[in-house]
Amino acid sequence: MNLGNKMNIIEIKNVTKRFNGVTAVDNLSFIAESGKIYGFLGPNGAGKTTTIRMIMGIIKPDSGEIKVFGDKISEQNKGQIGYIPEERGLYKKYKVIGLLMYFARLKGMNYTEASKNIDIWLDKVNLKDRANNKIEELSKGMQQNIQLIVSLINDPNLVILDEPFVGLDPINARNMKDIILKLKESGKTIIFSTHQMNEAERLCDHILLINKGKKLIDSLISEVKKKYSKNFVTVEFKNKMPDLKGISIIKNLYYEGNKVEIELIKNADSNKLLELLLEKEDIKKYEISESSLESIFVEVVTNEI
Amino acid sequence: MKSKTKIVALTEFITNVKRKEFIILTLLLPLILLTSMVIPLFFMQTVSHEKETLGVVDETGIVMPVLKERYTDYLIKEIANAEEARQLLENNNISSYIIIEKDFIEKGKVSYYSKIQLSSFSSANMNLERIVSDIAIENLLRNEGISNEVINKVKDPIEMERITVTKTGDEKETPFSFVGNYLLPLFLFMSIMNAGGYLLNGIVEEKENKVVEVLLSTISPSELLSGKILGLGGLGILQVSIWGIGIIAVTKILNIPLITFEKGIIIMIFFILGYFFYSSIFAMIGSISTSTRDSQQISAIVSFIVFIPMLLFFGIVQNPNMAFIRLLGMIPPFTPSIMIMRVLLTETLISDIIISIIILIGSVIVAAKIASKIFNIGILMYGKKPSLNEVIRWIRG
Repeated sequence: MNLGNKMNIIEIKNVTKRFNGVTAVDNLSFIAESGKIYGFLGPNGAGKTTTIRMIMGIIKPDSGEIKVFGDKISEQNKGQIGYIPEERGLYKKYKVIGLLMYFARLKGMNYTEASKNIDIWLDKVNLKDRANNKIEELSKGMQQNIQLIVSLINDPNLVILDEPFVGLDPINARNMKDIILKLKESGKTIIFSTHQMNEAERLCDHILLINKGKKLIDSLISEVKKKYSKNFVTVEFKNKMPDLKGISIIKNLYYEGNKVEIELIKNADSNKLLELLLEKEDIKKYEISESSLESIFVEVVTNEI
Repeated sequence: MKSKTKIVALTEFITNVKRKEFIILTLLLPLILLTSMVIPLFFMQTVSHEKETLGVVDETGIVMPVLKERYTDYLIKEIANAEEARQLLENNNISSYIIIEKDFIEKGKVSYYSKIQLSSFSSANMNLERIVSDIAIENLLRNEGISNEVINKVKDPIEMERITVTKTGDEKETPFSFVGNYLLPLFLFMSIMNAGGYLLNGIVEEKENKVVEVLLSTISPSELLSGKILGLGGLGILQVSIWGIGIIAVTKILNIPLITFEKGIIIMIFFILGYFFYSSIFAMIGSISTSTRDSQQISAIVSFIVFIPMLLFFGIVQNPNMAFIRLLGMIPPFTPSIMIMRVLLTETLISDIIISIIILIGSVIVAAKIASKIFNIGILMYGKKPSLNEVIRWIRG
């Protein structure tokens, strides 16, 4: 596979992991290049968290190989990954500054470097005056930010977020999105898992859809849409709804009040449809709609079943 | 030591040393234990002076006057007959009564009636028995025409002075020897249990608040576990040192003999090895527990096992070198406490000490290996408690 001059940040090769005889990840291969946002999609129990934990070296694959930054995961390159697990938590009794210092030191930073970065980060998220508060005294949103600082404190090149949007209110979810986009701007590689398709659709360059441990889709989001998109057209007529039966290029009709959603047969021309419809009735609105990632997800996963 | 292990150890030490519970325990435990030892002694001496009434039914006429003269633990009330005495006892007018039959000397028997069980444990009751015995001796010997001088000698022929022979010389036994010998192992084990408890709670807490996964993304489970064990071990040593300095100061002031330096070193070896052994066990418990509550239930059982040897204290005092105790000193869960008591109480065979230390080191290595295997897997298991079979599979894994 030729990947040009982009560096492979993560290489997963034929990885399989079983728990008590249940295959959580089944012969999965995947490559992440630098500077992109990757979305790990899949229903609950698809194997997303297991895959992420294997990338992090928290659990070991039964077979196959995982390389991060071109090497096997080790204590050295672990520090170069910022990780927010699905199960988030912090020491409730620690002071903000003490907690951040502990993790910064564990990531191999020295004291002066660490305190400098902690200062910068606390300032960035407006928590500088809370440095000496205990974690339990902070609001959930603030704790979320502290969690984020923990994973980003040493400016890692790869950031892995497991279900970053779960449990966030709309404001914090937007903050999270901004942070992810900013990380991408500064050249980081980001991987996040989610089952919220709208977030993935807005953020990802590339998606990896897995179900029951198996890879179903692994490509750029634009290509996914091209490949799986169906021809859908939404039409709103000015006066009354004409009889649409008998038009050969229409596959299906979904009526919704004054509007109708028309599914065209494969490779049908939507301009041709417009012509045909205008012969029948005046049109108020004619919209060619792309199918959403969500509908692709549902279709691919259910077909799989 | 790996640098990440050191960071964990230091952080564990610093966070826990600042805990209120730690400070309170370190400063108050000696006080509490000391008072709990001293209060019973205090009661033994003072309760008897609180005046209660002893009824005496004296059919001989000779006992009553002597009792009145010599017996000071109770007020004495002469009662005409047994029925009346029983009545008074039932109405709580008297707290006990004694019946002295006419032929009590020939029979060699008097009867004491009381509503209280185990009255033979009270010093007032023992005094009473001794005085009545004295009366019998006096009467018997006086009838034989023996002089008062000899009679007094018979009543109290000798007093035994108890001397313990140690390497530093002869030492007179004092009540403080008991307190010291019993308290020292107790202190050491309180410290182990305390540090082990912190380890256990720490692990369960990290599981409960899900912090462990973030930790494991930067550090390996064995580094994490060894950092915790070392940090909290330091905490235990600090605590014991504080208590040790206190004990040395008190013994210096009261001029009580202290254990020798060699014994101190041997005890510290057993203390440290004991800590590593039990902390491995606590780590196992923490790794398979899913909540603080069930971890505490399991650890209560462990603490009980640890303290069983303390109950054997009086057996060990009677014969610290008996085969059963020697054997028990070589069975790992009991080794540290039994050996600490044996070393304290007697000159233990050096071979026994070496064998115990070797066994204990071996057990520590095995326990630590098992603990780290269980820890590696168990620490990521949220919510579901593993079955015994699963745990065994992890260990074999």
